[in-house]
Amino acid sequence: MTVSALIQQQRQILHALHNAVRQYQQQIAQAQERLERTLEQIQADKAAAEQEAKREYEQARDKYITTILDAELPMSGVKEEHRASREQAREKLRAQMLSEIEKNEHITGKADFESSDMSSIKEQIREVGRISKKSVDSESLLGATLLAIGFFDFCRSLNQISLFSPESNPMPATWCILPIFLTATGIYINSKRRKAALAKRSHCIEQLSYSYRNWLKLIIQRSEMQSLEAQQAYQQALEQAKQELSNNTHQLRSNVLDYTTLADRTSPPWHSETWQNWGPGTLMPGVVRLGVFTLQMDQIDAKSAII
Amino acid sequence: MNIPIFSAPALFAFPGGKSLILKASNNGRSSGAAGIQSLLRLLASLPPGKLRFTFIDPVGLGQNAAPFMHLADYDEQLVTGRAWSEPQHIEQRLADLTEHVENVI
Repeated sequence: MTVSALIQQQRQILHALHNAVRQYQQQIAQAQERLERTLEQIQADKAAAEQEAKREYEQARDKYITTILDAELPMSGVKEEHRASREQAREKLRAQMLSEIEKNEHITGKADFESSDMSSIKEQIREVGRISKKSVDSESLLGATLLAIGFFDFCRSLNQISLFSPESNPMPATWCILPIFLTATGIYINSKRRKAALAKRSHCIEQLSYSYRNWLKLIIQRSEMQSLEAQQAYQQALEQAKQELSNNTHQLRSNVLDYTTLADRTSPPWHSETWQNWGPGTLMPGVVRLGVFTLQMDQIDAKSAII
Repeated sequence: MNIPIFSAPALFAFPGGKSLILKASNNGRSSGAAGIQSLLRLLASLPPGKLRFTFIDPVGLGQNAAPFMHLADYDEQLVTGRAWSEPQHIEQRLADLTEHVENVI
């Protein structure tokens, strides 16, 4: 093989190597771009999901508070002169409930349900917002009725006691016992109902806060899982690119071996035994060995010449 | 230790009508200087009397060409006296080379 053919072969090998490295670098760059795009998308999805969760939560919370206010302190039927004080009372109760909800937002409690499904959680939150006025009303109809009848009877009994003399009214105490009993029962039923309503309200607030926290937790978990999958896909792409580069350089191996054999014959390496019999040249060599082209994976973008 | 995925001798056609420039900076500068020592290959390969060096080394102040200065023990013309580092000396050597090329052509 002539010197020019040897140089030509070197050029071809380096050209093939250059193409293989360029292909590898393109694959890596594409994989990195894909990863960056995916991570950006994941972050955007997460932010949107958090916004949605917050919106749903706040809507349900506001609806629930309004329902409670309408049940406890309704504005309908309030006289004009009492409207301002009723409004103040409503605002006070609203602030109190918001404070209670805010406290619950930072408490790690347990919910009646444990769901890993966001749509179920959303439905659960909406359910709290859809709660009816009747179900949160702390006044019992029965209690109120008994209270009214008892109070009415009590007044009537007092009236009768004052009209008749002790002689003509042999059992005034009996007339008093029944209305007192009815009034006491009415108060008791109302008190019990109120306690139950307060407990239910507290429970609803806890559920709402817990559902919201659970939703946010699921959003974070989903986002982390998607990020992990994207990272895994990126690692796979890297491995595939490395494998392809390895295959491409492997295909060059036979050419490189031929070329190295001829190059060593024309311009032997310093450790060659050929130098033992060295003598001054008589002809121009045509080619000079400068060193060795090497390519390492961690320095893929640079061909370092080792002399 | 990293195993190279590719390794092959680096050959340079000489005399091939082409010049060779090795660019290096910072840590690579020592490798570049080591590349100059591959000129020893030329000494080992070319017939005697067919090669003369002009070393211009303003950065290394001649240090990079020091191994070749022993050639001056046999004939000063082999290394054109010494390695040049002063601007006026470098200009003079370049003028000499230009004149020589004009004479040869």
